[in-house]
Amino acid sequence: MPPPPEGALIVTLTSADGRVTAVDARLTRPPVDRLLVGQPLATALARVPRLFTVCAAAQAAAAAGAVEAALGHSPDSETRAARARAVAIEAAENHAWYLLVAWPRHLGRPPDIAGLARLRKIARAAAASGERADLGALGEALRQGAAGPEAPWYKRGGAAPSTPGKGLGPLHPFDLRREAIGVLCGQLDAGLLPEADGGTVSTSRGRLTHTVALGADLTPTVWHIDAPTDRHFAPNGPFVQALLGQPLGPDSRDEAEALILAYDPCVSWQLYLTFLPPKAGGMRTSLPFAPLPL
Amino acid sequence: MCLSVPWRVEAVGIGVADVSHGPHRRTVSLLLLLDEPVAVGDYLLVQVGDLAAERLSPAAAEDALSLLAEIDCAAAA
Repeated sequence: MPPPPEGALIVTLTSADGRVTAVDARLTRPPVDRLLVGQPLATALARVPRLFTVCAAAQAAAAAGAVEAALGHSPDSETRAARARAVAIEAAENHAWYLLVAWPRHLGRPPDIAGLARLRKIARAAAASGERADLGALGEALRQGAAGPEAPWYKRGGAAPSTPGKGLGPLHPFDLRREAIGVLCGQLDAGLLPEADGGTVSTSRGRLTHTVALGADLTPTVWHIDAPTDRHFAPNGPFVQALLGQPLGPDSRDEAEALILAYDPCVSWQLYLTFLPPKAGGMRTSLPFAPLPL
Repeated sequence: MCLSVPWRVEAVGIGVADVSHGPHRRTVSLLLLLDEPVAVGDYLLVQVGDLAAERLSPAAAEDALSLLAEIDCAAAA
């Protein structure tokens, strides 16, 4: 059976003497860049949002910004503002998906479909009007979703996001997301939405960057996409570093799964735990666990 | 990167649907589609967690499938 068409994440934790001694996170991706390199610019730019429907606005804005940077062009203020609005609204919707659907299901509770539908309706209105009041209403709806008792930070004793503009200091992904939601809510309230920095935009999972190089005929010769999931689960990335050396036993499945979900990979995933005997050279016991039924 | 993959509806149950893409099969929840009717032969976008997020128009599904076929060709090259 080939890997899932959208890609997959396979995580294997190896434990010896009760601690994690190795973390192998393998992320498979379809070679999307090959659909963009060598294409006429207009074709490549049109393909990006069609390839990534869930985060189409962010992908399109990052792609356009990267191409403009390669061309040495700067979009006008109206274009920059429209992209920023679309990216922020999409980020709010995706945060809401995480808060109201993904995380409750991890806890074994029913997702708040009605809440998500309400927020999406507000998001559509904000996208259509672009009015500050509608953006503020979206910020308030997201703030309410983040303040619900199912929010992941409540499991860790944290408070709901309230203070925008603080730095993203804490490293736990829950803290990062809570801070990011707080910042986004404040930006929506104020109607001051961050514009793309070249090919870099902010998404609900983190920074997304497109890097494009153009040939003499202006067709792309390089099109690299650096997505949050790639960084989070990189060989020396934060997920691996967070687990190395941590206590791990046969009962740690929930914690390991929760950490994967905290990093919110954008592909389906599987977790395997391997326990090595105390002395090297002995038998291994591999315990595969099913992916989360989100 | 949440690649857009259209999944074809093979069977519809109560709140769920069996869908396929090439050799892959999965059962997805239709909760998010609310009252939108889903029938065999429709194409759905499925988010992480096996939740159908959107029912695609035939044109959009065909478009996405053609892009994925190009990816498959590129990967095989």
